[in-house]
Amino acid sequence: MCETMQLQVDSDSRNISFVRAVVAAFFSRLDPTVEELEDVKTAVSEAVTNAIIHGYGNGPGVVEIKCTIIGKETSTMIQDWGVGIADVKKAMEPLYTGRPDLERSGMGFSFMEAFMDTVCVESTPGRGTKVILGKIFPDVAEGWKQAAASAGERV
Amino acid sequence: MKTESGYQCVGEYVRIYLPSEVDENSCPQISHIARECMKKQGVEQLVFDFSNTVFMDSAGIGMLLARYKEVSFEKGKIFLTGENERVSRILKMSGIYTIMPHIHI
Ligand SMILES: Nc1ncnc2c1ncn2[C@@H]1O[C@H](COP(=O)(O)OP(=O)(O)O)[C@@H](O)[C@H]1O
Ligand SMILES: [Mg+2]
Repeated sequence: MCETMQLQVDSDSRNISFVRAVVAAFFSRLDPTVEELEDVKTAVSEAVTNAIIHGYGNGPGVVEIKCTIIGKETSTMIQDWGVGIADVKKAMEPLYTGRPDLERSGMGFSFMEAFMDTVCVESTPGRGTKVILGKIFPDVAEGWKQAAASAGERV
Repeated sequence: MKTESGYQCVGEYVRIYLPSEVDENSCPQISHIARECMKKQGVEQLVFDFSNTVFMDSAGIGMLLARYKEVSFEKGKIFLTGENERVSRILKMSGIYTIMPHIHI
């Protein structure tokens, strides 16, 4: 069974906190830990920020977010129809920023990779960018059951 | 929910209070306040106070690095205080503690 949520927002920095809150609220039905939810919030924040400031150069545009839950697996897609990325590999290098004129750290993709299980980037210059963030929320209750079962075996 | 950033002189430190969410939306205002206080108060010791901060992403790291460049150009120092566990984790991952130590004041 697959559960989905879709959201479209304007390219406006005030929407960054809105999107990360909505995504976290959607995934909270999986009963994740506070830390797991914070991880998703940070990664989503990075991708939406990039869509707005890099994709649309802080100008007008639309950012689309699609969340999917299949079992314990979640996927969050963040898409823009902005300038796109010519060299994705280089863009994802730690500390690389295409905008040294702004106060950027170049750590956005590194944070996405650190906090998510998978990060997939598809981009075409002049057409836009799609970032797909994957994370599995291991079922805490399942973990306990397994621990209890193996403890039982040992007795 | 909204917490504004601002600053205050406490002894030899200038303390800058950060908002609840340090991200792309709030960072321009923080940069503005930090610059203003550096102009008015000088830049010997700047303390960024995270006591009200529950969220920070790489935009915050970019903002701090930009302040570091300005402050060290004037031979000043930056310290960080009041970070919760999550903010502290982000700061550690960025390696920023090596140039801006945590202090308890
Ligand atoms: N959605 C996007 N559209 C266009 N360029 C992007 C996008 N996302 C990332 N980039 C490019 O990848 C670079 C690295 O991104 P990131 O790691 O988040 O660092 P930063 O945002 O601090 O520059 C950006 O500077 C930009 O050049
Ligand atoms: Mg970024």
